[in-house]
Amino acid sequence: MADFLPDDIIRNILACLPAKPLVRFRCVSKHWNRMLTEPSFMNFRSRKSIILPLSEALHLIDDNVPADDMPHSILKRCHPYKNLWDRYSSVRVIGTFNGIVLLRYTRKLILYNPVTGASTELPCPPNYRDCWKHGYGFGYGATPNDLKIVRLKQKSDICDVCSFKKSSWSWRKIQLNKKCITFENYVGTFVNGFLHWVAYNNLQLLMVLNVKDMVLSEMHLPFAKRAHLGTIDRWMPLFT
Amino acid sequence: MSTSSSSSKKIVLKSADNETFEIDEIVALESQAIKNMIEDECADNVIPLGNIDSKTLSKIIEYCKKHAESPKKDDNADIDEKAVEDLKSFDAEFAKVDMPLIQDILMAANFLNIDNLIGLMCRTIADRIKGKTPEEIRKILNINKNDLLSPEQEAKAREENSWAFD
Repeated sequence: MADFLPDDIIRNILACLPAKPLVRFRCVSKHWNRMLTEPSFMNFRSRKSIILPLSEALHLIDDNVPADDMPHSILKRCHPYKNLWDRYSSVRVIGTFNGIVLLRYTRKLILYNPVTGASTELPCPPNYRDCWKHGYGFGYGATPNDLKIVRLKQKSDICDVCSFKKSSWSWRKIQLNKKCITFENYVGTFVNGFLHWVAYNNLQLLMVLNVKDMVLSEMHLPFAKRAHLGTIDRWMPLFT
Repeated sequence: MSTSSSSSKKIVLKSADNETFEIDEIVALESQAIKNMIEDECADNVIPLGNIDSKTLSKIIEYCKKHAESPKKDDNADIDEKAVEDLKSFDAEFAKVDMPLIQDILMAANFLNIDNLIGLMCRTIADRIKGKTPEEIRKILNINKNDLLSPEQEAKAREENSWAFD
């Protein structure tokens, strides 16, 4: 009998499991605990889930559970850092990517994997409190490991980018090719290398950012109704 | 050159316990590792597999035979639904073996690089362990007893994630 299974095989097995046993199995051994909380597993490339952000908790629909198994397919997870959350502050989901949620607290930015419960605190960008002027987006550049969080300011052509380099996150400023217009929706939707925001400049437009080259452009909508964005596989449905 | 009664080329595999298995080349090609050996012309008449015993090897050959015979998905668009169902039920039957053998098959499939079989064994293990407690997992998968969390760490993990232990 096999003494132990290689790590890539264990990862392969873990990727087939629903969220509940996955979290329970952090107690199996130190090795499993490390594997289930390490950044690469946090990314869950092979997992799909639908995240429903509600103010008091996050709900997610786990795609690894058969849809008719309702008690296990919908998970309710509390927001991490509950102690940061008093009646003067709020928490908002400002981006999701590959099952990872970007949470904005009054005083902190947190990356959170609701399935494993792992979370990482990000440094705050400059002028963090002026939230109403900023749109956020979460995606990747040249490769899926080149994760970027971008913050755009309306009517400005300077963009803040937070990227993961040398095992830590840091912000830097980037000069864009044009100025941002007014946001209608502050949360960017990432599809096929581009972040999209619904924006407004006399009429409703999409503001589109090429995350690899950091080039901003505008795209007209196919209709003149209020639009909301979503993602499904590699497509971006528009809801009106 | 004289041709044998069977027109296809044969490959001989030798297990760790020195049992030999003669199979059609097309069956052996299900293994990416053997395929590479054949393409690089470094496969002699007999391929020794020093880390796979005959019990495991005969299961692997059974799997590869069935999958080599079945029409491949990308062969044509209107793939026979019945063939797909047939292969599915073969896989389900194939996986009905005890855990030690599953793990041996998985290790061998990993060594021989048979993607579909690795996937099938991983799904089978996931399915069998998903309802178990951490203690049961340690026993089933032979987890090293020197690598356990400290009682404090374990208590903390349980407390933080109590919803997963109901």
